[in-house]
Amino acid sequence: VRRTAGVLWRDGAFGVVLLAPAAPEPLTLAGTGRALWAALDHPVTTSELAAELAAAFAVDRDRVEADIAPTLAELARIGAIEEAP
Amino acid sequence: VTAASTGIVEAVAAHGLPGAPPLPDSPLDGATWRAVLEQATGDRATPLLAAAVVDGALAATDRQREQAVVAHEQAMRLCVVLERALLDTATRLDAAGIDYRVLKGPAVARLDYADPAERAFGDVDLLVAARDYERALDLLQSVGARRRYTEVRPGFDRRWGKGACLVAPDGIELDVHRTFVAGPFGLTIDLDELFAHASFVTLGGRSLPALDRTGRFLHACFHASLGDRTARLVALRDVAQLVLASDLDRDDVLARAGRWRAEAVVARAVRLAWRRLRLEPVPWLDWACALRPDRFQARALRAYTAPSRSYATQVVAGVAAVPSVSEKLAYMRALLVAEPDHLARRDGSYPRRLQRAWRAYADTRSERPRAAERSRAAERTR
Repeated sequence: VRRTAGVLWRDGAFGVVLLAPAAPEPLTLAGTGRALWAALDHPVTTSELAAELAAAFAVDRDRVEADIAPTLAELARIGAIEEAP
Repeated sequence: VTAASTGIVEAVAAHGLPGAPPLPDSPLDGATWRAVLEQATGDRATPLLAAAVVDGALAATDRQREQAVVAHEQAMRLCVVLERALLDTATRLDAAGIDYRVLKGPAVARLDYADPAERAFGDVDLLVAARDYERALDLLQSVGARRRYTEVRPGFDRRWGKGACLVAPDGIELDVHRTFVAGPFGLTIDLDELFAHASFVTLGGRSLPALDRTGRFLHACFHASLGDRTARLVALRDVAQLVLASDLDRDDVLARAGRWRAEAVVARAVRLAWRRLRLEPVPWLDWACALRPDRFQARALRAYTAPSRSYATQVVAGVAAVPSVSEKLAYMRALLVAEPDHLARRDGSYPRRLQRAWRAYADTRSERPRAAERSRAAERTR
């Protein structure tokens, strides 16, 4: 997966505020969502993403993969991320 | 709002700059904090407030920290919405072959600050080439935007005006500029020179033209010096940010300001920024304090800074900057013989408009010590 080219975003202590091209309003990713968005700055597979976050937070990779699945689904639904060719 | 809260917000607006004043090292009481938060929001300084609190430069309770972070988030949510409106507008202008430059917030946030999240903004500003100005307005109005104020006479804005504020159907404000400000200082700017240079701001994967760094600094000075009766802290921060945290070419700035007869505008912006943000002196400040404006600039400045300042004083003072006698007559005729709709909204009748114009003219020409003193006193209290 990768970030969609037209997505607009800001990073801060609040997390990440992002607005996808066709989304009706901005979405805020709080907590570990900030690290997830940072890790998406280059195309990655969901397994690689989970491994990267698991290493950063010193937690089990399978657990991270399950935890990030709903967020990735929401980001895909609003058009903030897409499948890389 | 108290003197204490104002002083703290002003110091917050300097946060992160070299020579910034210190901030309180113990949490503020509830009333002072609420005033600081309110003022920071109004002055678009919530990103700097949040940064000061999160960095530990400004002591805060957990609740205060949370409020600062939420205020920053709200400001950033608006910024991304505005950036999307900017992208949509840029797409339309590009398709129509209209030349433009992105101004203010969306440009300086990405080109002059280390992180765009440090700079909040509340509207979208574009400079459009004078030859394309009316076409740009027609285009944007054709997709639902409406003018906030009517033009004094058809064609006035294209020849002499600052521009128009449009409101999109979703409520977003889009300021379409022909020049930086109304009145004399807007008329002495070399508009072709503004379009002869460009920097490019990357937004949503696209590259949009903005003013070059010298142009951005000069516009920041015009905005801080002449834009509002009391300059917003974010406008003053932009001036200081460009002086202290960028590779601003001072010779280029002064040469361009000289050609535009606007050194006094730059000097005033630097003096205001350093006074209100309480920054350590730098050579730019020495220059600004030493500058003695010529007669044209001193008079023009009064139209924007005197206690009686209004749109009327600015456009009436603009007569002095209009180049030829025939054009001066055309300018005055356009101002005095306004469109009925404009007249009804502004003055009600032609005799009243003539009376207002005369008062504005007399005010900008006045060199009485009392008027000058009033102006300085107002500046001191800002």
